[in-house]
Amino acid sequence: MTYRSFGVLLALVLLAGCHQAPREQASPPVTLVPLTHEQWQERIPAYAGNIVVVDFWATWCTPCVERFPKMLAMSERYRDRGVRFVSMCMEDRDDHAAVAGARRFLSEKHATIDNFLLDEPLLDGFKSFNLLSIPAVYLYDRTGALTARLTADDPNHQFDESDVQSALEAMLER
Amino acid sequence: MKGTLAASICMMLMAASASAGQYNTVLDIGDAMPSFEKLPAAAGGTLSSADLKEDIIVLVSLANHCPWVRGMDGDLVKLVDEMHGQSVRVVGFAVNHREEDRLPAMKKHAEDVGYNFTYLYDDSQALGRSLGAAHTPEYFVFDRARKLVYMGALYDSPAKMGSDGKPHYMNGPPKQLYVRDAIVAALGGKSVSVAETSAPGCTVEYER
Repeated sequence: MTYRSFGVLLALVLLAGCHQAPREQASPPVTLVPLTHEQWQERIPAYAGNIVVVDFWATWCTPCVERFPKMLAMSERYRDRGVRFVSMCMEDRDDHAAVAGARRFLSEKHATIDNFLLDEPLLDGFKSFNLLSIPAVYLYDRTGALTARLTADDPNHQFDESDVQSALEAMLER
Repeated sequence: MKGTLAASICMMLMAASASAGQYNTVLDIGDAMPSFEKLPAAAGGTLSSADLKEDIIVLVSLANHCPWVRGMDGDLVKLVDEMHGQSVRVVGFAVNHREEDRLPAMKKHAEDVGYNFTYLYDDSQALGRSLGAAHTPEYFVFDRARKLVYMGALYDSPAKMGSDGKPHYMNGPPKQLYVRDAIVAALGGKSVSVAETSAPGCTVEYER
């Protein structure tokens, strides 16, 4: 090996190292914080100044699981625009295997957003969040007011990520 | 974009105020039963609404993959058994397009669980849309005049299949058996005391 080719190889190795090291250092741990609806209401002011997108999901909800990576990707795209994505896991808190599965899923997806676990009986949570089923996405404006509520409760008005994005863009333009 | 947000907000308001029922966005109590034509059944053959001759018809929105369906499957089978000999017909239907909810999987699920009622698949999703069936499981009870007398959950404590493979009642043992009570009232020509309830469960996945 010539000095020149050794130099090129060394540079490539260093570049690869530079590419990975900051990412590992910058990645916060994946967390899943138990939270009641009341505690969520108390927590909203902590996001003041940001638009907050809440993705309601659970491992038992197949379309939620399929949609989750797309929401994470959207979170990355809007990170620098004053938008915070939050996940609210609607698992039965007493189903410990399911909760463990939710933690595993979040880790596998490198979900470093704020992840919350509904910490009250599931139906109580559905009721207090005004949900009948998931997936559902709620958007709060910069003052913490619930501005858009996307659900699948109407067979003739379903939503997908494009609707979340449209609602977000509209809020950002206000 | 402002128009899009206005549309989103408008959708919120519509969902809250323009619903046909309290929870259902299409049907209200007293509405006529939607008709359906030659829908394929999991057990073979087809069924049309015109084929239904019983006094009381119960349509149930189902999906094999849904743990809220699998949690209450056993109680639905018991209800059909209990109504044996009465002029009551229970018809389950599924409209999701994912493979685990289509006919071959429906046939297997019906056999595994012991479904004792006709289980139809509607690829067009028209039956679900015309009922406003947004969740599974969700029940619709029609009287002799084929008018809707009840829609919503089976009972006041929806059962969800847990990770342990056992059904778990979310509010403890059911106390109010909404569908059973509606059937009994309709059979007796009486009004149904609780005509609409919310039906928490899985989302029905309609094509946009």
